[in-house]
Amino acid sequence: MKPLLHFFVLAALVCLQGCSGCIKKSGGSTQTSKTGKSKFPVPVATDNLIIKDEKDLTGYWAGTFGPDKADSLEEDGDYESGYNKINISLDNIDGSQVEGHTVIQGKLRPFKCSMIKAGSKYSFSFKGGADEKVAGIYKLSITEGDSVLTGHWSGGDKVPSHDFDLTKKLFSYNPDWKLERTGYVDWNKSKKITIKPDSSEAYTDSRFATTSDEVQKYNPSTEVLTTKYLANLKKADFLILRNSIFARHGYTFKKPLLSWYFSEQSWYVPISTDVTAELTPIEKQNLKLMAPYEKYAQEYYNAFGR
Amino acid sequence: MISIQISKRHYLLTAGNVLWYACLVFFSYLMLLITLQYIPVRTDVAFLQIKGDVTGMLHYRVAFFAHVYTGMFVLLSGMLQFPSFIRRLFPALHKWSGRIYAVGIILVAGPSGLIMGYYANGGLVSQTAFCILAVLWIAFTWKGVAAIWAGDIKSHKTWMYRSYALTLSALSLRAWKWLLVFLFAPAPMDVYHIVSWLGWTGNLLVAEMIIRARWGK
Repeated sequence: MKPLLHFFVLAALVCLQGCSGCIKKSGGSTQTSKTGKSKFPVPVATDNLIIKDEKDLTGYWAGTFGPDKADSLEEDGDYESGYNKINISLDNIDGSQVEGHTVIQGKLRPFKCSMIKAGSKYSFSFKGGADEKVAGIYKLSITEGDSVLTGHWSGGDKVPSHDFDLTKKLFSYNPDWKLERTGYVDWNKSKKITIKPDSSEAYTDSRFATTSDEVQKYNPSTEVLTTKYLANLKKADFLILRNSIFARHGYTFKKPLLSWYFSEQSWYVPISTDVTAELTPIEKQNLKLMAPYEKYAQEYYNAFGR
Repeated sequence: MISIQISKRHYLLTAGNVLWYACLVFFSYLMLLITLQYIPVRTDVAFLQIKGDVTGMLHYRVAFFAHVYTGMFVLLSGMLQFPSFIRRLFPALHKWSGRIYAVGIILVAGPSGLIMGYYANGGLVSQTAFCILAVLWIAFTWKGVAAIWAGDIKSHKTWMYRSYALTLSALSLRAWKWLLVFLFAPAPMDVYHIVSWLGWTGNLLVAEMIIRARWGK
């Protein structure tokens, strides 16, 4: 009888040990690491968004980048292949030599290639992967008098090729940029019609279904958030609100979901892997203010507690 | 025949009691885990993380820690009051744990609860709820104490049922919150407003039903 009793007491203790998950969920880190210096100086760009000559080409060229075939998305299920904003920065053009770097999903990759001018059409191509795994080739071209840099990326037969349109972005930080509804935003406001992701895809609707309307109420880049407001946010709201601060400064997100979410914001241009030096006092204050509330939301919202 | 029926009924009653106490022990254990987060005294954990507006005030900190530490003893000593075998076989235990319970609420956990209620998150809705809760908690417990001083056992029992119903709101409030989030995932402050009222009114209703079932009107 006694060993049996001991067993039950022990079993009960083991069960109770597991209870700590009932009152507190593992929070995960609220700190996104923003380390790693971007080595590239800001390219000197002219104000002309429509290309008149070679000089107008330098600068940031940004657009939505993703696989052409909608089929490939469905096969992958979930949100494995979302659309990222890509920034192809043309840093320096010297005659037929182009130096630049691509910024996509948390990675800055330099390239160097030669540019061909045939009639009024500039074209150049360089090697580069869409991500770490697949090597590929970018081909880009633009005609004088046009504002769209047409791009094509192919990574061999096994991965779908990407057709994309880039427009020149004269990036200057604007704290007033607001989070737009998650619906797909037409990024290319130019005359050319591009292949856009099929609107029937569900990912834009359900991806951040867990963010509430609250997230659009205040802008952490322009106003100091109240504790009353912060106490009513869920963890997804914090994720977006906090990262919107970094997104406004052109932070390029490594995490696919965040990269895809902000890629849908028309104002978003990925530029740098480290924007901490650019944060304004209001933003720093809000980040500090948000941290304990975000941690609380992660750990205690769906736990036994208050 | 009759005796068999009685013993069977008695057996069922006991099974129900055991289940009830198992529940109580389980949730009290969770409460203990919540309390242990605040040992040693620190203001950067759990609930206090989102009370940065008020944790700077000494009287809030004193009230908060007095409340959570005393609350645990009140909860446990209260649990000892109801089993009839304790009252019959160990009357001294009933008396002394009862004194801990009453003094704990009337002098410490109740008044500190009132201070915390005044500074509650969620504005007037939850502030009102928690302040009423604290006042009733003290009042019912006092009534129960006064009744036994006067030798009125029936009155003592009814007031203590009500008092412990409010004590258990610590558990039910948190259980309701978990359930509401699990079912509907509402905005955090909406949940808080709901449970600040639901947490103790529901318990009081159950206590009232038990009292009426036992002693009639």
